[in-house]
Amino acid sequence: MPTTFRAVPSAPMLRRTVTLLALFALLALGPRDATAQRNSTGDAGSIYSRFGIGQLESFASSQSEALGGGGAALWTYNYPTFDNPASLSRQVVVRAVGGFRMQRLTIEDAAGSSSTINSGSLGAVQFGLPILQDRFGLGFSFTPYSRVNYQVQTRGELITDPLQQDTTAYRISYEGAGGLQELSAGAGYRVTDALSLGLSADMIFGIIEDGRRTIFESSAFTETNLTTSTQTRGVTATGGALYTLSNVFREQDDLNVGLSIRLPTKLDADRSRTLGESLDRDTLAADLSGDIDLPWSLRSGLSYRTDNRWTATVNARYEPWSQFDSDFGFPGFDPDGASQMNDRLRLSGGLEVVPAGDDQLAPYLQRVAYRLGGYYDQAYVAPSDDLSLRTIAVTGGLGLPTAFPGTHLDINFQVGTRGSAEDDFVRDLFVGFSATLNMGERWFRKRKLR
Amino acid sequence: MKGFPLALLLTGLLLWSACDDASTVGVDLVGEQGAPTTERLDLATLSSVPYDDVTGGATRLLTGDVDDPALGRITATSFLDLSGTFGAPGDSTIQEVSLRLAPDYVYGDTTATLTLALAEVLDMWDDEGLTADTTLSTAATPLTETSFVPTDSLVTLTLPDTWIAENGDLFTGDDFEDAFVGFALQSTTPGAVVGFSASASELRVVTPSDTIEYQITKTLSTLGREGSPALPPDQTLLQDGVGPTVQFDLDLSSFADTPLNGAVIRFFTRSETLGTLPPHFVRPTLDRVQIVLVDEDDGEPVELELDDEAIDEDGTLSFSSAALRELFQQTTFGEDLYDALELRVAPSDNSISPLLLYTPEAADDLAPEVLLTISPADQ
Repeated sequence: MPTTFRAVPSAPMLRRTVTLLALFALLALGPRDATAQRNSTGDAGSIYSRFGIGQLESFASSQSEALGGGGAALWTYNYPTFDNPASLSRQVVVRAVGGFRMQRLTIEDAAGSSSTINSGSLGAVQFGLPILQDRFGLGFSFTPYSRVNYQVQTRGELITDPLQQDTTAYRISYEGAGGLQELSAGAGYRVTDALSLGLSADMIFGIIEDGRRTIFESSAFTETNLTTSTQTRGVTATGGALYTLSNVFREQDDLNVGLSIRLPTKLDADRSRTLGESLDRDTLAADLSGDIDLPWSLRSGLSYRTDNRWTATVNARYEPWSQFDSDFGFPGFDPDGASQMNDRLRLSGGLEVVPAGDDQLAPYLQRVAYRLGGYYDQAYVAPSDDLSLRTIAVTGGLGLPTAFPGTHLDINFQVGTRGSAEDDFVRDLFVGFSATLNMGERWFRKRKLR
Repeated sequence: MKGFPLALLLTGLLLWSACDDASTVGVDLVGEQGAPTTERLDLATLSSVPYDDVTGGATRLLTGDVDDPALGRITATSFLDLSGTFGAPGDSTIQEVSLRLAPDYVYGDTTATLTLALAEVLDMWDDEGLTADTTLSTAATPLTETSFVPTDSLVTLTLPDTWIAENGDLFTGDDFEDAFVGFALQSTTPGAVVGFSASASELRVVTPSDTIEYQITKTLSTLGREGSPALPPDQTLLQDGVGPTVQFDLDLSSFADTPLNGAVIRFFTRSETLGTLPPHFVRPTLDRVQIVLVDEDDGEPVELELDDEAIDEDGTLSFSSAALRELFQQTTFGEDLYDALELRVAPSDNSISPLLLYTPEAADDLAPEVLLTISPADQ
């Protein structure tokens, strides 16, 4: 009798994956929406996130995060990588990824004063689905695009009654929250063994809130919380190509060249100004509507892998933010006047070693992936023409195999500095950790029937 | 146990992020945006408007006739009703009925001999909400009258025996409160307006075996003014009971959509500028004033107290309540929440006491002023 095969889902695995994925989605969506209120309870980040549309985020995969953050040419079967949708073609198992990040930020100014702020946020949620194993795959990703998260305050004294010379002390807390998110759905197809092409549709949306809370020492005066809220949404597309050269320098090595381009994006935006707390806000004047034009983005990279032990990658990202335009003003951008928007250049590189290579029976520590990298990021916006805002950081991490086959826990770190403690500027010194759970399993098995 | 290291890691990371130190480091990148300021502005309008106070149900009965050399002649007639239980059902012989009044207020000549007449009210009445221009029908002929000086601690009006003979069964019967509708206290000589405490006054009924007190349960003071007050040109009059009151408004158009942290409205009062008073003439002045929002809701008048403040020793009257700030804040948002803002005297103080307020025409340091503490929105 002929042998036939039928694809059937592995029900327990499917349920577990879907449950975990839903949990990640809930965790990611819920607290992100709550970010707008979080500052008042003490979670804040860099004051530089006040400028432009916030501090831009880069997360292609937890592997690439540890290798400096670029992933245009980085692909493995263990990680869906979303910097380049072409890499989605190279998947063999269903993967669900979710994680969170912590950061300890020390801010120093020119006077030598410093402040330390801790913050935490949920990271990306990603889902990779191979349709044709190692040939055609889909990917879905929900990642932060930018983040606004700052809290800084000033103090003063106000003459409240010129006649009687009454005074009261006050404090103004400048608070920013929110940011843009990116929801992508992509597909990659391996045209030949060497060449993959991919395309993704990317929705960019979110709310940016800049607030100013004025608090008085005297109870005779009412605290006011003035918030400017900009709500945006728009769609763009990313196309990418990934070309692999095998056995370039030795047997069992491959050299990958990746390139992806994201189209310029026009975001529809509504801006409102409110006074009061979250559930009891008075809207000041009518909401304004307008557009925000984000520039195109070019990502390119090289990666080299040998023996499934060593992986090296270098990446570059270029975004001409000098072309940024908006009907609304943002700190660092005045639609009718001066702008401190610059072209963004991000360079990164990293090295990974898995001592055991493909040997799944090797001792545990030899199956761990050890990663080290770094990046340089020329920011797209600066507080002043006098400051070119750059971030330099060292990254690294461990890819820890778990007892569940195909599932990894990635613990990454990054240590870096941003800005300069000169004049009115500050220097950020940050230490960040992230934990990302990467689950992989086969949803469809070929069962032999007689 | 496999999950223990992961749980430990997550817990540690969460604890690590659980503290914060918001500070001023980096504030120079923001600048001094939105620093609060105090803005002073004048009242846009201020006017004197007639007002008949609600005197029905007040705790004080006003009766008399006073001619204030500065503010004109004011007359007062009061009405009262009584309630009580005849305490001697086996003894229906009433020997004496007297109304004992306890003065607690005087406006006018404290040495004048005043004549007070007592007359019967003819119709049933309810004192709730009655204003000072309300008149009740009374008998043409008084039942009795007495003379007193305003400094007396007790004024007694003894009802004649003929009235007792005709109306004695009012007390011994079961329906005193329906059968008896009240008395009017009328002044027949000028000199002063006297206030009697309703709670300290009573109707005393004497029988051979008992003395029964009937309490005052309804009150009304009808007030009238003759002539116009002679006021300095930069002052306006606020007078309890008989009016007038003061309406005013602000022009907040230059503060549209501006966050408001505080609001103070300040009036300056100088009642001594009304001139020298005649010997023994007492003119009590107000010590507490309210700000009241006046509006109409579906044709129904709405009054809402926004603040109630005492006048300082130096004659300054300052209002700064949260309700006032909130009203002005909503006004800066473009809402039209009221027809007028008025100064009123606290309803519990039934009197004809006046207060003189400087108007916007007064010198800068005496004119009413508004102090707004704002956080500029456009910075």
